Amino acid sequence: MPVSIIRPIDIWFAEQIFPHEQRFHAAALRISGSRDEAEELVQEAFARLFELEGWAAIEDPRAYVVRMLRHIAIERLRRRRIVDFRQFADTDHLTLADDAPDQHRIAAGRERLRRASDLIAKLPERCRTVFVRRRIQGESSQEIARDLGISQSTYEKRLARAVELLSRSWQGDEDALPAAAGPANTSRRSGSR
Amino acid sequence: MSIFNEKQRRKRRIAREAATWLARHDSGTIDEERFHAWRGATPEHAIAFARALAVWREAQSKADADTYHLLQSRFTRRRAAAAIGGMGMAGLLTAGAFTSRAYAWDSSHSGVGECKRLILPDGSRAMLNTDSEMQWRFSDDERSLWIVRGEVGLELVRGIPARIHGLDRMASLSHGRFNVRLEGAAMDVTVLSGKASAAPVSAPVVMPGQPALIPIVIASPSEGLLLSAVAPSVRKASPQHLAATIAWQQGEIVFDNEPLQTAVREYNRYLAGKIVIADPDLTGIPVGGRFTSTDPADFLSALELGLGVRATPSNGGYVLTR
Repeated sequence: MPVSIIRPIDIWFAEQIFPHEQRFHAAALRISGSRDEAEELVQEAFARLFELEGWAAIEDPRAYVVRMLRHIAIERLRRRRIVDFRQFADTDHLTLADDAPDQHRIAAGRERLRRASDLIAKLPERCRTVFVRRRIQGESSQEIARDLGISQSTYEKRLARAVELLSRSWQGDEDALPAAAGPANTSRRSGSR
Repeated sequence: MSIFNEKQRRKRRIAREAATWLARHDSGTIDEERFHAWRGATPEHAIAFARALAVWREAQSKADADTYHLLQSRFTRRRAAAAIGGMGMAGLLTAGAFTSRAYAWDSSHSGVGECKRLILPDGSRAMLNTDSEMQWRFSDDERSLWIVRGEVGLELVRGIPARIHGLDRMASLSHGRFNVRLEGAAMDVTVLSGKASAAPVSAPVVMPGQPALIPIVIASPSEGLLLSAVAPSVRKASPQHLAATIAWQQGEIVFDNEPLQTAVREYNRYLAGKIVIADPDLTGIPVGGRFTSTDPADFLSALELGLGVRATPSNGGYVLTR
């Protein structure tokens, strides 16, 4: 893949920020107490990060984002008239609570790989075929399209759909890649809120 | 409820658009101008695109874990360095070209595990990685740098092209950010911003207004310029590779599914007490993670926790066994 349109900050986000996205949502939820607001907090933190000039110098991006979430939440709380002090108290523990030691990175990396494979396995078959052949097996797009007897544009649509579904499920969208129906999944919360 | 649905729909639409741009980008059918307009329209777009990229790259790391030895990109540099290691003689023959450097050079060096920042005479910055040495000479019409050993990060201000020498290799650098590393008989210049160009050392001096006899090789951002005993070559540096390349400037060392042997060799550059792999079965195990470069404690405990590899202290260093 050529890298021309991909900026260093995109790479940094992909590498340092998005792997922790679910953790950020959990942290934001602990601060705000509402799913909607938590999502806004995370979105706001990401948007501010994109604006930040010194992003490359951030030593521990994960901890930094958690601190940002806290700051943004406090800013918002201050704008309100009635402040619930329990929320302040809770936010004090966030940085510490979220600081898992780094030596678990290898194990965590394995866990992430497993998660990535699980999600890919759940993709609809047509999208999965295209995605796996392109991204995992490294075949060229022309090769894949020709072999499947589909047009370049259909190929691109399937590939895009795969990336879209994976992105949405990273974001916590449970409808994106629902677990396959089966007895093992009956206990799983199904999209309700 | 309808507000929620509205939000949800918007989120999905943006995720779909971001994925579409990425797919087109990968297929080479992207209209860059329209993409930039889309990405610049709102931060949500930029975020969604970076997320799509993260998904894309995550799948790659899975591919690497599956077949890391088949994928060439990350290991090209080391392979190349190993391949030309035996060609030292060819290099020595051309080394005479720069022996006249022995006057008015300033120099600085770093010890093992040390990292040193320098401000050069024109305000450019340099950072020496572990066990490195650099010399430089600056004047109104010259910006010359000589990497004697190790690895240096450079942030060059605007000015005349800087000439960087390493072993008997030479590259010309514009203003910008670069990482220069000597490895084996090769000098590897990674371009973060700006341009690096090279002509073979034996090339005739190019006079203004006259065409160069030997084509000059130019590396742009996110590319690496490898100067070895063979002709200089340019290769794309993958985003992982770029990030890992400059991690040392933050005092970190990054492994992205590298064989344990490679990881240990990298780590040993920073350590006075070296790590030794006692069990040959361990050498090919892929490892990943981000660690403090000067203190292997986390790395070693990650090996133990994640892979069941034991590190036993020995002679100030460590021996790795099952």
